[in-house]
Amino acid sequence: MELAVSAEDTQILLKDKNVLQESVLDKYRVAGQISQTALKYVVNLINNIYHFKTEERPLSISELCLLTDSFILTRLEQYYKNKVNERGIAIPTNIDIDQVVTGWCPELDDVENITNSNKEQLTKEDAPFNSTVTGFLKAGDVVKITLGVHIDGYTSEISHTMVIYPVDSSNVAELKPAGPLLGGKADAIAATHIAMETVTALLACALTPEKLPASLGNNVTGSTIRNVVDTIARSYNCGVVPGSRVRRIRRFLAGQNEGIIAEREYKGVIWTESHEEAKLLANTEVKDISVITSATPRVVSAVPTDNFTVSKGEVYLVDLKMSPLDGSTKKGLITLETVDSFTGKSHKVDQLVARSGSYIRDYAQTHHLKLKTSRYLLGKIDKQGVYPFKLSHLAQNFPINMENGKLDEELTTIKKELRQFRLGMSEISNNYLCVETPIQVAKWVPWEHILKSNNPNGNLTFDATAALTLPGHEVPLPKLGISSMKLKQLTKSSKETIELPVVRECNTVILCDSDVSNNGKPELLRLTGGNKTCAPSWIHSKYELNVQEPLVQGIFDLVSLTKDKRFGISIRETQPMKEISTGNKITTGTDAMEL
Amino acid sequence: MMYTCNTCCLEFETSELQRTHMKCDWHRYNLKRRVAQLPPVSEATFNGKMQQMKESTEDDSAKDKVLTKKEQRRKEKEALLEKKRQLLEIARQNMLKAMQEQQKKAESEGIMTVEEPLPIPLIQPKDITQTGEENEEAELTPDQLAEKLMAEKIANKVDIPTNVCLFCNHNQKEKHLSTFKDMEENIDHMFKCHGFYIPEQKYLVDKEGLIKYMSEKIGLGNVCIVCNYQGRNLEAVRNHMLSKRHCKIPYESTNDKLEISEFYDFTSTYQDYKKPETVIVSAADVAVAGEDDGEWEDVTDEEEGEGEEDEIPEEYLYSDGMALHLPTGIKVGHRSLQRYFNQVVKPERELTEGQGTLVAADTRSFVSTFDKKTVQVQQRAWQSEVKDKKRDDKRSAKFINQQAHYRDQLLQ
Repeated sequence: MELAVSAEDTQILLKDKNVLQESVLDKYRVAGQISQTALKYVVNLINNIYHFKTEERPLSISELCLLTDSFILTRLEQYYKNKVNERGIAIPTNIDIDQVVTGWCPELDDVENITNSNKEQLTKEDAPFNSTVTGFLKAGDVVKITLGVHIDGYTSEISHTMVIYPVDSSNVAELKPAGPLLGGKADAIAATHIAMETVTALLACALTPEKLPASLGNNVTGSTIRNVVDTIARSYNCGVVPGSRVRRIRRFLAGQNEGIIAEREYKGVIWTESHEEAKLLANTEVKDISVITSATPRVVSAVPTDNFTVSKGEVYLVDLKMSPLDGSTKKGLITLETVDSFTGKSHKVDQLVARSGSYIRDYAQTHHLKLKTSRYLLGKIDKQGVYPFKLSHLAQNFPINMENGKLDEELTTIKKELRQFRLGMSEISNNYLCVETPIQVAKWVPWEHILKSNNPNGNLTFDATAALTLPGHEVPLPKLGISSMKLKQLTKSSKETIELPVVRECNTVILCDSDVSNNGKPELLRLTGGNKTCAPSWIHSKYELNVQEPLVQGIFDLVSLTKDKRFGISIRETQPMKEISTGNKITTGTDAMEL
Repeated sequence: MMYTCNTCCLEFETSELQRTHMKCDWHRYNLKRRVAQLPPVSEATFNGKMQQMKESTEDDSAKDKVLTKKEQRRKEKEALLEKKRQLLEIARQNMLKAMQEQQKKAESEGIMTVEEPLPIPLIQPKDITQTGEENEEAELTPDQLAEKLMAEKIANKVDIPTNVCLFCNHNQKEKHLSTFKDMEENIDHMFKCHGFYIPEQKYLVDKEGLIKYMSEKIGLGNVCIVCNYQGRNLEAVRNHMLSKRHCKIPYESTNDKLEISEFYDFTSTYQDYKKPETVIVSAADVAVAGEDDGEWEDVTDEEEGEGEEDEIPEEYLYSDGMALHLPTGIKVGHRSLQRYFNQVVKPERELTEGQGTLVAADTRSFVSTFDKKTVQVQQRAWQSEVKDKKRDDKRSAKFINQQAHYRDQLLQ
């Protein structure tokens, strides 16, 4: 069936509904509040289990994910009831540990499969995906919690990294971490935190470009953002992981569909392998590289470029992922490997075998399904909305009733219902009506291994299982003409390839002009993140920013501007709600474990 | 051993006799009757029929030899139909007249009395040899013909009293078998033995009238009450009704209902219509209903009996060419559009705002241009990749040491 939306409707949906008004801002604010609260909730749960050890029954990752989703929905119940058509979870809660970059939200019934097909990870305590497979965290893990809420398509997403510390039990009255986190992970956490704060301040400067420090240019453009982030990453001996992005989001277009739809008027900075490649090639002495140019896509506005200026009244998603590069002194390329469930159960130490827990519907595809179960399921999926979903979100007993204390029973009923959904889902995804959101793992490949490899076919090899790519960025290394399949093969063939731990921070910010802001002055509204909710963990990094560099000087100027109440730039944070759940109040003060 | 003929219900001594019987016309005739699910006739009856046929065919062939068989048949049929129609009309008028008289009588007497059966005894209709009259018929005008037929019919009239079964075909001696004490018992008998069911008894006001009407139809008109089969005499029509199981009052089409509607009173079912006065169904109305009945069909599923309401407030009934709007609010579509009414169309997919936004923002186009050259290059690339992999595998397999233990070649 041909789907088309008329020009007037397109104007309304893409332009008019995205104009910042009081009502729109309010929806954003509530969505932000709920996501902040949900993050507090899940952080609190993790703290209770691993730091305070107050929970008698430790919850596994899959249960934590589901409980947080359930919490979001119960919270959302009170807001905009019968006022908006669509509201709900924008991203199913992901809990990614260390090397897993994104997408780890296993279903309840998948836990067994994962342990069965990753025996090597289970038995070895120091295997890279040990905690991921067991479902329980251990001290030293870097845990990335990602979640999102949308109300009427106005989306707020948040991602925060926390560290599991060994607990110093000398003082029982006030538990404290045994010490700060050191090493590569600490560098990455520091770099990501600083980069996040800087980019937020930079975006705030777009409201008053005259206040922008001179070393950062006249106005905030895509290349300014890239330069700032790259500089900070370099200073901390880190690399920006492909898939990081600072992008404008619109109603219902919050980046959840990247790679599935080729979004019109994409505005944002993205980091991919091709950007790394360009940087590596610029410094290389090798001259005889055959540069292969790829065909340009049809709609130019769908191709992300740095050639844009941040303007007022826009909403931005700042999603930064960084990895430490202390593993090797050599040059290398950070790449993402998509985890799948069918590449053999070889029980390798460096390989994770799992299937994705969340799916996203591709509305451009139509197919008449044969099974009654799948038709029923598709009906549910279509009703659920345009955001990624987990099958357990469609269950009858979801959201879980946490009042009666029968958590295990509720989980078992959901698990039972999942069996039926799996049957329908296989037909749906076989016909491309839904796409799995990929689980990705960060890997580092030595650059010389890529350069030395022969590539007779160029970028013509086609990878059917390639992760979702943005238009214009289908070929990961366009200059060398290396396709994603070739890159995958290169990653596997090198003995020096290592898995990288990844730190992720993701915030949603609104650039409010003076007509909508609270105090009449233009200000940046930080929907998610901020020091109250996402306090950085206690770390010590041996690196620091080089003040001599002009760009770094600009960064310091920016930070001082945010501190200046009178003449600086104003940033307002959305605070989480006070009460997490009935009878269980959380202190809003700083968490000992968190810092 | 007996030789039999199942068709004619006969037994023979020898097979010769049986064979000769099988070849005769009587047997053939009975075979045809059997196919038509009619009982066999005796030889005497058959011979009589043959005699009649011969006479009539002689006359016919003498009269119009020029006409083809087909035309003849058509003419015969038309004549028969015409006759039937006239008879029915006459029967109707008679009935109405009788009813009016009855009403008058009742009014004059002041009380309604159950009418006694007429003192005319049951008589077997006389056998009239029509051979002589056939020639005259052709010369008469239609009016005269009608009169003549009427006279003939009245002469042949057999009045069946209300306490005598309408269908039982007993001769004079066994007559008492089909005669009952009163009408109710008779109706009971007819219901039990012949399945004569009177529809909508709740609204039936003139039961006797209905029975009388039926008896007149059979006795005077010699017409089957179901299929309007025109019998030659009472016996014939009774035989027809019994053998065809046509012993019921048809109550399916509007026409059937209208025919006996004067014995019914449905005013109690009209909630919004409070006028117990007589519903006059004009001949024109009946005709209209009759014509339309076959052509219009209900679009919405409504329970039966809705048709009766058609006549109530006439002013709201109109047709807009495509549909007939009934005063009850039901729209009746034309049969020619039936296939469209029967279609179950898939509802158009309605996009929610979110889906609409995604579709509006999407710039993917699924029609990819098929470039032969690139496809060829791509295929070649795949092939060589596979080939290279196989070769590499083979080479690496060559140098794998598969010996579990060291074996000295010199010691073998």
